[in-house]
Amino acid sequence: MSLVDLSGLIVSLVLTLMVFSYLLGENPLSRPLYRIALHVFIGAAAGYTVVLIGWYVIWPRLVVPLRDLALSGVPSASLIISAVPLILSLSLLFKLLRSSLSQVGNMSIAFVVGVGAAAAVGGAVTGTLFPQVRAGAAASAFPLADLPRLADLSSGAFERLVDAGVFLIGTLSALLYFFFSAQRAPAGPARPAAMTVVATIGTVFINVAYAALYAGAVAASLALLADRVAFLREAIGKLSFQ
Amino acid sequence: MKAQTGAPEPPLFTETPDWMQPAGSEPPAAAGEVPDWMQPSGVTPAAISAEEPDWLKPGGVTPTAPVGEPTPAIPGEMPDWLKPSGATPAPTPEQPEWMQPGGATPTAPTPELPDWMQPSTTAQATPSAEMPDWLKPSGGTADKEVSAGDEETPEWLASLAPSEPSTLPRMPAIVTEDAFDFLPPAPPEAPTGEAWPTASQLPDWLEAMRPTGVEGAPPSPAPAAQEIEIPIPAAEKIAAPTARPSAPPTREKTVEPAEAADLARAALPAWLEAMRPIAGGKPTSPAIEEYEETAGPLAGMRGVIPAEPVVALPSMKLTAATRPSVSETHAAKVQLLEAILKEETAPQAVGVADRARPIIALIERLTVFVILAVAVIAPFAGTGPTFTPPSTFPAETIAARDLVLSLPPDRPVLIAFEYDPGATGELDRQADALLTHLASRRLRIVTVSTRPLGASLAQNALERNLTGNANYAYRKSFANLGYLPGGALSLPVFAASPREVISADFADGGDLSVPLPRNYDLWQTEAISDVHRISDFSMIAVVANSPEAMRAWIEQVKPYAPQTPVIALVSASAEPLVQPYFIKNDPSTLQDETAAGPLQGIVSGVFGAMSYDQLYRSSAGLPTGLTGAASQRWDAQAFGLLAAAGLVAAGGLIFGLYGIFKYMRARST
Repeated sequence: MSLVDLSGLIVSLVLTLMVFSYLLGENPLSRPLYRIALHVFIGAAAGYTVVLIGWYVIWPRLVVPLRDLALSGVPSASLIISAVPLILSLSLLFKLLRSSLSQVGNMSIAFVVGVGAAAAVGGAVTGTLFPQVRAGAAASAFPLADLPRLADLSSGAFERLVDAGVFLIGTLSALLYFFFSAQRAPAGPARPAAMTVVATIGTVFINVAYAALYAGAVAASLALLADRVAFLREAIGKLSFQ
Repeated sequence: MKAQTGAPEPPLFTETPDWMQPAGSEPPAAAGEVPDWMQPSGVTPAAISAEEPDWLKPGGVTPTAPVGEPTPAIPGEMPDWLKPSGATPAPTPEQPEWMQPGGATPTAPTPELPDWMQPSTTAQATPSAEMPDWLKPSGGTADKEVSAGDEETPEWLASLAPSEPSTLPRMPAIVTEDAFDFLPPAPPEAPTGEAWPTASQLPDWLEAMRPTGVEGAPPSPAPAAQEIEIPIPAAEKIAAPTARPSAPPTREKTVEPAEAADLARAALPAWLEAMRPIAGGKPTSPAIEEYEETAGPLAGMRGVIPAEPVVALPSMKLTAATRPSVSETHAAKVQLLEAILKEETAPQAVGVADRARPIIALIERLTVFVILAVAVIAPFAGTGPTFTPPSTFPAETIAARDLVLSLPPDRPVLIAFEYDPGATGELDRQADALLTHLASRRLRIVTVSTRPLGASLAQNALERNLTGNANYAYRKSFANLGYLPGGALSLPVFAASPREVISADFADGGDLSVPLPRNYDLWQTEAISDVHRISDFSMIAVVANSPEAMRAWIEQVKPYAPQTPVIALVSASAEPLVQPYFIKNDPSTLQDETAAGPLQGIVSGVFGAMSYDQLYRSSAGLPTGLTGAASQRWDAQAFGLLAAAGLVAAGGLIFGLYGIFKYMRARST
């Protein structure tokens, strides 16, 4: 094991234990250890990101075209292409001013927000909404040709019918749960009786969905814990053989 | 409102300057009786601007006449109520006759005017039964004098008409220094030969404003005995000074109590009374009282409000313009809010249970951790596997394996690393399983990431799985395109034209072990030389720890490559939200629904990674099963899940029983 690998192993081990100190709660012993580890991680990530952006964005898209312009005297195509982002980026610096000039930066913000909203809406419609509706319709469909085969359990027709029925009821009841219109009643606004029943069924399906999310989160956390424990065991084992 | 009566009323003010006296009723003041500083220097009365009110011009009436001489009235230029009562001019057709001076003088009815506007012989109206009390005149004489035409005249209008000739001009009851703004500027030097008026000719307040440097000023003022009747608006009388404790001292003349008692107080609605402005502004300070103006038309005057602090210097109003109207309902709500705030801030007695609550929470947290830690750590101390690897596999994982097996060998595969270092413990296993499978098929591999740290994670995964593989060399059979700036917005651009977005790979400066050739062109390298658009990849695999990252690739990239299959390798926490994008094939139909859906395969969590690895081994003819560290990790995951499920069940059982116990105890009591 090289010195670099050994140093990295020791730092990783110490930082892992410092993060685990948060299990002891907010006390004078564990709090500074956890905070230091947190600050180290945030600082390292921020510094790495700055260098990466400088290398991937600023250098090839701004510095190199300017260098070529200085050397050749002829603006390159990449410099012209980079002019608009450069202007928009520089205008963002005006947002730092506490004067009316800060409104100059609104143009960049409006551009980013507008493009982002357009891309998100368009992508959600074509990439999520339509496919989801199509998938929901396909899952809820049951071919009428399978009705005569319902009694034959080996054909799978009954299973598909139950599957389609559960999917259809779950989808509709979960959507109708968010129908919050109510009627006037002596005891206060209340949903119609039929809607109350449907909403209750929808609540069951929504809770099942949340339970699945929670179970997934627990499983992911346990996987991370097992990975860290495995790392600690390996690190201690390596250090003990040094 | 107070009706005019025939009896003379007591004067409201006894301190009236001479120039305010009507020219006709009193002998005109001589020129020598006017203060010099109030006379225009070097300007003859005829030269006074026509913009000035006539009654302010010298002589009080006619600018061309010498001061002190009676002058004929000019009806067209002077308000009638300012004209001397002795000289009754002919009524003008533009004015109702009750506004003419000497309203008591009987005049012939004007045929052009309606009856209710015809002048009455006596201006007093008799209050009828329909008239509200507050509209009835307070004088008793009005009850006896009823004109013949009052039956057709509205009584409220009749009460407004003056009952007798208005011999004196009307002016507001409050006279402030602002009323003198229209005066011509005071001369710097008093004209010689003109004496100051005597003490009996000037009121005290006017005497106090005399310039200090003027010679001939009388030393001691004497109270003036001029009597004048000045009607006071009702609203100003209602404004009792005692109701404004915060009002600053003003220079307004107040109404004497005896006089105010004769005035009827209007009954204003509460909401209107609440809107009465409160006297605001800066309180008068002694400095202002002693301030002497040195410039402008008020030069030489003391006690004037300095204009500079008001106009030029920034200031802030100290008091509110209006006083809020607080009803009983509002007051009750305010009291309720105050009670709530007091209850929140009041120190509460901390019981034994409250003091022990943090300790109980800490013990509970540590107990949960100890149970989970033992469950996770114990397999690493064991010798053999406890749990067998999965033998039944999810359909979406099988679909992912089948898709990789069917990929053409001449096209590269794109893998997006969309996770951070915090998720490496879970997602690195999946990335390793996929890379191992792809490497076994000798497929070209290209990685990219929209996260800054994702590029380095991709580089680590490539080095971890491909280093030492003789079939793989950087930029020949695999490449790391690195960071894709712009987040989700950069995906459509990258999908449409990858070469315009990526100009350097991650190893270009990131990995110093890779030599950088001169005139290096990334897209001419062997690994990606045939890639011009996103559809040139044979498959897109997205390794993501959040459903948002996965959804961004589906929504932004899939429309540019609808025929390119996409598989998702996601965290277990994101699987429920990614699962709907996978359409499972219906065995009853021959249609390939999975191929038409957004996702063609899903590998989820550690279980999915283990399943994919087992599927790959079985398809490649490699021995299945787990050994070594992989077996220990699998056992740790399985024991941890069992412990978590046991804790959830135990917690639910304990709190359920506790709730039932509380319910039973509450019901029994």
